Amino acid sequence: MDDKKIIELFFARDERALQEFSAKYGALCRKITRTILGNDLDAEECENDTYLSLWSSIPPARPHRLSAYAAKIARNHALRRLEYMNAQKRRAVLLPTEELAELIGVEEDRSAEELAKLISEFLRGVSDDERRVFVRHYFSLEPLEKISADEGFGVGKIKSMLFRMRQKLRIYLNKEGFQV
Amino acid sequence: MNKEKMNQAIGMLDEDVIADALEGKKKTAGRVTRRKLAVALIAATLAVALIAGGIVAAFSRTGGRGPISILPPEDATVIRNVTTTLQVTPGTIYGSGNYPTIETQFGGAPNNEYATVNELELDRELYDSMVASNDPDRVWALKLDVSPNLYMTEEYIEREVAYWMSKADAEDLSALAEVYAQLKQDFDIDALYEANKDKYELDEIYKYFASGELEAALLNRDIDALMKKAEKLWNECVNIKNGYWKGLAPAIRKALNDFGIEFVEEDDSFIIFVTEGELLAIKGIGGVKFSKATKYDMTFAQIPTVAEWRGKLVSNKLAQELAKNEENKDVLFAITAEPAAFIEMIDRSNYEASYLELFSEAAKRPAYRAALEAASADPAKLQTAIAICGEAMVNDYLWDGVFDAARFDLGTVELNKTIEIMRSNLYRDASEVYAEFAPLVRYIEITVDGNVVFYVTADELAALTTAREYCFKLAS
Repeated sequence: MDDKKIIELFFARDERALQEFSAKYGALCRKITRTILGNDLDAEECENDTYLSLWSSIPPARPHRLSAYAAKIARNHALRRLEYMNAQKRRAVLLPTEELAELIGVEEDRSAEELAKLISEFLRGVSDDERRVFVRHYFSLEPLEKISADEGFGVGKIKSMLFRMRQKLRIYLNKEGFQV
Repeated sequence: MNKEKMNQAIGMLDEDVIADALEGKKKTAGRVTRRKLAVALIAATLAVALIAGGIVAAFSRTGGRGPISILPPEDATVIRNVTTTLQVTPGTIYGSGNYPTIETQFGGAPNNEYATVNELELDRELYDSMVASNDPDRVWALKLDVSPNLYMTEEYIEREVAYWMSKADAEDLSALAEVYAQLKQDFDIDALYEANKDKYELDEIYKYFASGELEAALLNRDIDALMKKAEKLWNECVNIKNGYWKGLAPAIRKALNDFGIEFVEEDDSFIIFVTEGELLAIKGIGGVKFSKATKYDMTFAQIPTVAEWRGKLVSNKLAQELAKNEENKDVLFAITAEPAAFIEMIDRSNYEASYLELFSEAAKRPAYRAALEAASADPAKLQTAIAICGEAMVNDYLWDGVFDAARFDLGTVELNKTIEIMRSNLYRDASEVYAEFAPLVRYIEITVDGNVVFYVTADELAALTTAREYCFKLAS
């Protein structure tokens, strides 16, 4: 079923929306939550949380790209759970995005939303390969080895691609007025 | 705080960006596929570029983007890197280098590997007069940033086509079909043909586009049919090179005149002599090169022997002249320094993977292993060994498809980081000079064979009073 029809089911408050969504994008959500949390049990709970959030937010939301909309929700649920789990164990959460955090100055006071818009724009200007690697590593938080295996590039090349993109992003953000 | 903000921002990326990446099917399966796609694309794009008469800009390293710009940047990089450098020596030429340029030079080691001078359609009389009037080891020549595809030999074409034939698969052809569709959308082939048919011999190439045969082969994923077309197309591209050059020569002359450089001889040949002192480029262990990003991008190069190069002064007179021209205001000029910096990149974390991978591959090959072993025994030989391997490996990837061109594209690096690396290396003297340049440098590019290219504007270039000292230090 195409995304528009699934969204219409959500709007109609038809529970088949979740079935159709699960059939089409359940694996994507599981992959994201599983990657972040590292275990099936928590990942499954987060997937269910994602479905609930979808049900609650559509309507009024009408996602432009349903897969990405759900992926963002799944990621947020998984990260919150990861933070909770690590807080209990009194250990820090280390995420790949910390590499990106180094690109902006500590005094920078502009919003995350504004930053997201700029990074999105930046990503539209890179190659498909680069964008895919970037999103997989920093959004889906996939390890380099997994990306390497899937993409057919060596780990060294993946590292090199990410490094170059970070340098370009730093320059781009600087041009856009961000403190770097 | 920043970590949290950045993590939030990544979680808020626009849906289209995420979705394209998460759902996007990888079009190419790896480095070999990327390369063969590039090879295939050359055939199609070259024809369009020729028809459009924009191939020089298309393949220009520092100039504007031509028809090739419809390609994604990464693929465009591959194509640029697939190009090669042709060097002319008395009676011979050989291919080398990673630059997306044709480098036509006199002097250097003879090598018969790829073609003869005659195959390049050089003006023999001019060539002889150049040799007769100059020291063969010290001859100025013009280096043009154009597509060497025009000069690729039949042998090269056959090898590329054979390679592609052995590797092409349905996935590639599907991607090619998309690119081909884009080509058709971006260019009015009929109009281009009509506008240029009297200037160039385009009939055969036009037929391939107009007949739809090429497109049909792509869309039907008919590899055999496609290969026949591609091979034919390649050959036609080579066949029309003379016509192309006849059209281009006046533009070259004009561009040279803009440089204030006098022709030694009026000729349609693309080889043009200039006098010593007017050109600034030195290629060797280190040096300075100026590249003007004009419509017809060109670089002037002098190839002295190393012994001769030592202590040779580089004048910035031309730079000052260039700076006077308002048109040059926004033009960036490249200053390159060869392998000194390259060596230092090898062990640095940011480049570690790429370079170690490169040399690890190099070490597997007997011809290069000896050089590397010599280098390990004698640090003084390291620079030479790396230069040898770097260049050799570049050539090898061209011919053998061993490497993905992108692996060599290390891209732009951060100035401060580079300076920091240089300062901490064996080449302290050189790094101090680089540091002097630092405030002027707009960006840096590191090329595979160890060139560190600093880009500055003409004004800034003219202000460089340290060029002489810079070269002295590198030479000493």
